[in-house]
Amino acid sequence: MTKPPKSRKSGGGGGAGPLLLFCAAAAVAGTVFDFTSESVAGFWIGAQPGGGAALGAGAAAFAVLAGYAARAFLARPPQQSQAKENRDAGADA
Amino acid sequence: MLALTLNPGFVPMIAALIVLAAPRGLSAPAIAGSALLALWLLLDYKFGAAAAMAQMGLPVVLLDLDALNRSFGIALLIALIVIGMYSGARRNRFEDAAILLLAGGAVSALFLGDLVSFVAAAALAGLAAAWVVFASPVEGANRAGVRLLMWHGLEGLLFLVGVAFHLSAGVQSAVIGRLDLGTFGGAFIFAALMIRVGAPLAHVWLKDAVSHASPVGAAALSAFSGVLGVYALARFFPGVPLLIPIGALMIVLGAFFASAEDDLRRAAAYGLTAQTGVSVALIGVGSPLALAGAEGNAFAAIFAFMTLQMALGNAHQHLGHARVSGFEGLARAMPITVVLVFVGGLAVASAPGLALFAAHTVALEATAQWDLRALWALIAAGSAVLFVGLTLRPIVAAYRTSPAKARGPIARVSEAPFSMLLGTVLAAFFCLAIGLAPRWLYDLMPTELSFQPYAPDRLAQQFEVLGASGVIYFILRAARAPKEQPVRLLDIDALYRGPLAGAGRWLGVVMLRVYGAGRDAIGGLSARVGAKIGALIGSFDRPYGGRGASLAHWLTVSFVLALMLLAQHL
Repeated sequence: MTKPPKSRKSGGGGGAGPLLLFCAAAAVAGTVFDFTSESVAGFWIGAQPGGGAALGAGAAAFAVLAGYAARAFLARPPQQSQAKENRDAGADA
Repeated sequence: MLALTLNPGFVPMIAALIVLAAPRGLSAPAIAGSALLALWLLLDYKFGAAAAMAQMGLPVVLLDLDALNRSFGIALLIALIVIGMYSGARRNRFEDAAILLLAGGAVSALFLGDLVSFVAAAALAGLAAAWVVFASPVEGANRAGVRLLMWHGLEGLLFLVGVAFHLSAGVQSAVIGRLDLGTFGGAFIFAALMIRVGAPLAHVWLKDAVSHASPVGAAALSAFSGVLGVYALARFFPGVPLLIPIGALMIVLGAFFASAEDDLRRAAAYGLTAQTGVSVALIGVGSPLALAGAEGNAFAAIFAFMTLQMALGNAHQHLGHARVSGFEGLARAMPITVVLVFVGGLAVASAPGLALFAAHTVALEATAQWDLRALWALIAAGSAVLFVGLTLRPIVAAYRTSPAKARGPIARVSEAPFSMLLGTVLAAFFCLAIGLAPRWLYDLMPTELSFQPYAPDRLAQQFEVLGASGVIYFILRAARAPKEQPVRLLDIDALYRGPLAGAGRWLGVVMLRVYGAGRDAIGGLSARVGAKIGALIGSFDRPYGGRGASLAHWLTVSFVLALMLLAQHL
């Protein structure tokens, strides 16, 4: 009796793996170069070696938090939004 | 001898009229051909004012070419060629004419040398932008067009008042030059330009228009709308410190919504607001390097956002939307489009090798020179937020597949038409060309730039910022990132489209009821008064009958007696 193939309940990340690899390689290469190069010191802490990584991490956290905050306070379903739009300024009906 | 000097922007305007009458198949070649002809004219002219004349005592300068407007003109006309290629897949001559008029208005405004003509051309571009939205087949486009018309009407009004105040200082002030924000004229023109660039509170028109435009219209609006405002700010208000906080707020606002919006065309419009904010803030810094950075940023943003909007437009054309929540499985159905979305996303995030990186490094250097730490951090982090919001989110969604979705309607979607793909690839090519060989962009700048964007430390820093943001995003996503849902986010326009519009409707109903009640009351009162007067007059016909008759009788007798007494005195 042949065993039936496993059904995948969800398809998983798909492109997430290569993208994560791409980002990790860029981050590691950039950070390593930043720490090892003998370039002129940055004009403030954000421009110091490693500062870029911290900024990038903060930016990603901001983006995720923005997603939460926007969905919590500013979101409405598109159907409701469309119905509202049909009654708004400029409505020709 | 008749010397004819044609403003390059007039060529697309003339082509707009031709497109309305020409066979439909000629629209795309007419768009691209008019852009090529205008570009040839532009590159053929020498710097300086030409074709000046006087009308009603005011100077009219139809062409005043310099390094600043030439670089913007080149960018817009190349963008028009690309849009011409992209538009070949569909037949909509009204939209084609509107796009040509929009491009013609924007390009001619760049080269006009007097304020009155500039305002006229900018207003024409604004009207044409509204026409682009009206010509869209997307649901709700008519209402979005009306709203855009209102914004541009307000902008035109502010422009006109500003120019009127400005001209009151004398005829010579009609020639374009630096304006003073401290004067009434300067302040009104500044306010009009704030609408054009999409400053906070006025930032909503772009996302509203772009999300309701067709794929071609969205690309055209991204390319031709805000850039005129950036040019005008650089021309009229360089070094005005107020522009720094305004630009910074635009970056924050644009980045916030770009990372949270489900509709990617809206998100890209917000991203454009953020990148325009970088240009606005740099104009506020006002140093030669900062002005070059502002100009370079606006130049590169045209191609980067056009690429992204075109790629998203390909998806929109077949799916009927470009929502992240509906992108699952798209990579199988439209692999080339998804790759182009990735390239466009990288371009708008200032990834090395693509258009905006060349200007991004100049922007960072210009702010570092003046020790503007907060602005530096915002510009650096802004690109990372756009990377997460406009690159990683859609690509991760597009490559995700579940068995249900794999058999769903998205599986039956085919790749975008050839001309749309060709246009998008061409836009991506320009992104790559500027990114890999930024020297030709720097050579177009008014300031001579000996800048090395690919110096290892600059390159490493951008890789670090983007790479770290990506890694942290994936970690947070695996932990507790918000699920992509089909939602629409409220923005400041919800105020005037919601409570304010509701209050207006309520006020209108109340006023109508008050008017109706007043009309009924006046009608009733006049009927009663009329009846009384009628009864009184009727009583004169019967002077000896009833109660009214006695009154009429006495009135008549009194009147006769009064007459007799008067006659006796005389």
